[in-house]
Amino acid sequence: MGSISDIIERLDPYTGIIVLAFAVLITIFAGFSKNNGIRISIIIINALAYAAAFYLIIYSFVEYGPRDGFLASVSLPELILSCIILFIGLNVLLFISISRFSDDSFIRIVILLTFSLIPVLSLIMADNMIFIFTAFALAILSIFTLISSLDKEIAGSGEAIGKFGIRTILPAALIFLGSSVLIGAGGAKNLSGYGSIESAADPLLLISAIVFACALYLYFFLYPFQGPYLKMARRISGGAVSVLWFLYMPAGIIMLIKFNRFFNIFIEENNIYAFIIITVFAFINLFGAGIGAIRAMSLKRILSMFLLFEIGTIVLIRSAGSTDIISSCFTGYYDLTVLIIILIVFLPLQLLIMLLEENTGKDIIAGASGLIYKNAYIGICTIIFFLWWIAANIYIFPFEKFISRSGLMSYGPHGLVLFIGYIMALLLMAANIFRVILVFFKKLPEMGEAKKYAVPRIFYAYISVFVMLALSVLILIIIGKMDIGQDHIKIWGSSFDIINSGN
Amino acid sequence: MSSELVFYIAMALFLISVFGLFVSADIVSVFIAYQLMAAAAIINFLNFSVYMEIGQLWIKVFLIIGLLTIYLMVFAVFFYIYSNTEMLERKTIIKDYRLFRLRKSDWWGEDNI
Repeated sequence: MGSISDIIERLDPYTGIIVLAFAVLITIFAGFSKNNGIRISIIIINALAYAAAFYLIIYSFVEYGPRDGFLASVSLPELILSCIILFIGLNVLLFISISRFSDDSFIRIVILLTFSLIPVLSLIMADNMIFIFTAFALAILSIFTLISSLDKEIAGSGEAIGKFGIRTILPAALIFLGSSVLIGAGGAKNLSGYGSIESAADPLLLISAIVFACALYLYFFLYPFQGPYLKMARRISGGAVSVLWFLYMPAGIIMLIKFNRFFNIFIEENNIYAFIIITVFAFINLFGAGIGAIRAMSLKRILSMFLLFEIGTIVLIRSAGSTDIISSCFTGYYDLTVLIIILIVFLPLQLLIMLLEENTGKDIIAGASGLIYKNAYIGICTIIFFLWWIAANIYIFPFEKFISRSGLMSYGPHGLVLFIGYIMALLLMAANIFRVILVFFKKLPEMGEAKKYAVPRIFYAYISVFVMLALSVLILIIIGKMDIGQDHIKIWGSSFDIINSGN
Repeated sequence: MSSELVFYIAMALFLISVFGLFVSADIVSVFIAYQLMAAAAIINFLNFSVYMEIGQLWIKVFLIIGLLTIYLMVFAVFFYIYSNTEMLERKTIIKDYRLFRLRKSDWWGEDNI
């Protein structure tokens, strides 16, 4: 036992990555086997590897505490993000197993999935610029490879995936260029070396910040550069969509959290021009996503718009950070909250899309007509997710400050613009959700006797877990036992300052 | 040649690459724009390595790893386009790629597939 602890201590903080690498190695031996028994055992091995990595990361942190090395640093935010990514990996494995189990290249897909988790986990703990860049670029590369492998045989998706691939090179190239300029600004090997407000006067630092911000903006496919993402999301299968939404997007949020302290140097200056630019882009996203979803017929496209809306709120939070509404130090905290909201809401909704595609053969919204009659439980759960999503978006944005303080002008014209704009965008999104819910209640004349959808029992269990999670958060907040503030989470009297715990 | 002038040249290359990305619809031009961006980064790295105390080795390692990963990404995308798409689709990707496109289907409503 002592020797095992000794090995874990020596490998820390890379234990999780090494376990995943072993799982990849073992899976390679299964090759292209078409034997169902081998395929099931591969799923089990990889799921166990994720669970083991999950356990080892927590064990190492509890046993040896935060680490701060030359390449990597691990504190509480990194621990939470690592656990979230492994949880995502487990869910995506489930989606892929459901949708592609009979595929000839199923084992190769599982290898690529586990392999793509490795750079994302590396990105979480990376502290050195070389490590951050390499992990980021390899994460993009492996996710692209995974998506292209998942949809190899699906006609029409090739063009969209190709264009998506060409676009994903751009953020990596921009980060590379930004890093080269950053070195000229002071020569620090990691981003925390540029943490003082005095640094904001350096033009090289400003150029690199603009280049990094553009890279991340392009990475998320935010408006007006959304084309490849929306086109691809419509054309690819359910398994590939889950990789796009739950691996590609979270990897970007992780990268954003990494760069937060660096961006905050400029946000804290309260520059009016910066505020205007960030606010304009934030509202283009929020309203673009809302307007685009109104006319969309494809469920995947509608949910892709909703996801862009959620990422748009991240941009809006930066805008709020450049005023006094929230402290810019806590923008990373909001990013983490947004990531958790995306997981709680979109993971089960993704499963719903796969279910509808399986039952109707298409993903258009009309396929969901009468869902409430065909499967009342799934229909009600979906409505709960949609309503919870809107409620969560209202809750995390600091509305209460406008109401509890001296009035709408308490934060000046900046605050008022953000407040009114965000309310209008939320109303637009609520209208979209209302439209989708109406379709669930729509009974088509040709439907006749409502035929129930064939839903495996695991679907019920899966969706129930997420509904309970969402409702428990809601109930805890309503009864006052949970408080998600600007800089902390308070549960039953215990307060956790997640983002600053490692500082 | 002063360090400042070299930096301006690198930034000029970067701006040309951004211009190329916005203007060109041909995938080859897009990849050339990426190459220009990488070239600008290389010039910056080498330029600053002369004056910085950060350590020549660290900068060289970053330069090599960065270039390798970017070229790997370019190769992967090219390989995908040439090995997994039909001839017609390939022509569409090669001749009809734009970074920014103001099309109705992207902004308002459905795209036909």
